[in-house]
Amino acid sequence: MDDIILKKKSYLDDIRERRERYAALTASSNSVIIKPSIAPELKKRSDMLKQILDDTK
Amino acid sequence: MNQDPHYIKGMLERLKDLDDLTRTMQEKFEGEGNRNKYAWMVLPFLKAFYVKKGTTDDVVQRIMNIVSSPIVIAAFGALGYLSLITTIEGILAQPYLYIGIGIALYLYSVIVIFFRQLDFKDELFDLHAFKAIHPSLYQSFQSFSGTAPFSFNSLHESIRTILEREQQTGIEAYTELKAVYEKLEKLTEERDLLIKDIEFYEANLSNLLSVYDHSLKLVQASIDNGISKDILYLYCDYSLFEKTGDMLVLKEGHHTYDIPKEISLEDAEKQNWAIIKACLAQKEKDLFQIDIRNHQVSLAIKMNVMQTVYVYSFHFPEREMDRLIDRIMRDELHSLLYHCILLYNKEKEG
Repeated sequence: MDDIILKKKSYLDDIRERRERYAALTASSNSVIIKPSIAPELKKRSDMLKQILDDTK
Repeated sequence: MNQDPHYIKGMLERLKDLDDLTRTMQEKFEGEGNRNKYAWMVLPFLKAFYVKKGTTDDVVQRIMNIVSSPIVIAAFGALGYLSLITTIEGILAQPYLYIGIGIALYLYSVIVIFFRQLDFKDELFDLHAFKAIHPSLYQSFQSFSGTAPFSFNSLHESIRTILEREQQTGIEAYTELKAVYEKLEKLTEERDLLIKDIEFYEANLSNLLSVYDHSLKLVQASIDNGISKDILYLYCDYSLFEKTGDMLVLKEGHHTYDIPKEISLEDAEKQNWAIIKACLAQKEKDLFQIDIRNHQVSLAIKMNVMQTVYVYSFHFPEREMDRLIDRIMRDELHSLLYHCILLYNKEKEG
């Protein structure tokens, strides 16, 4: 096979490998980042407290 | 901890109600601390008069109005001596009757007044009576008095302050988290787009390399004058038909043993075949046709090469569809295919 093609294929394989590694890292980091469910839960609790405070003035 | 909002609300409201009780307790503790410990036992009788004081005053006033007239005073003066003598004689003669009446009056006052001495909210409440009858409760309520008296209202306010602080912290945390999530979401979207871009350029580069590789083979074959049907093989099995009159004649192929050597363009049973549909196509957008039979895909392309109509068909299993269709449906590949067939045609023409 032509040298240029071999070189380009090797470069392409390198990009593919890096992309896959990055995708795997991203997937694992997503589970470490704070769960998005915490924010709505905080809002819900705060609204509930506000309601109690308003009702018991 | 019970976090039910109705429960918390109920608790806070009850605390406010309870404060009436503690305030009364504090007042009683402060006001009655120096009184005689045992007075509550004899006080009911006197308290009975105290309670009836208003009524008593009215009656006394009327009586005083009557008795203050001179005639009545004169009459009372005369009768006074007589009655005093009679009363003393009566008491001396029948002492038990008067003692009985006295005891009966006392017991009556006890029945009416006694329990009122145990009621916080009653004006006749007596701390020593309460202590004697409910010593444990008395001990508990002692903590409500003193220099820093307990108040349910202050407890209520303290809880409210804590809840307000928690609510404020919650809102601030929520706002910050929301901003972080929004930023994260944007970054994620951008990242996903970048990954797609990389994938797209990867695929492009990969295909261009294949085309380039195949082009080099074409050039080499042309230089060597050794054009063979191998130059027609691209990514998968194929068949190459030439249009001759109303017939499509199979010229070359790779592993296409079950494909007829000749196919009539008017064959009713084969009108759905990709090669027939592509060959009969009039518009440019219809030059590419596809059919799937028995999980085998045929993707046909019609090409006019040097006044000859060719139909090139890719053949591959259905499961390879996603991988190959992206590689086949590219301009660079069609250009390459055209030049492959052109070289093939020139070789054939000699």
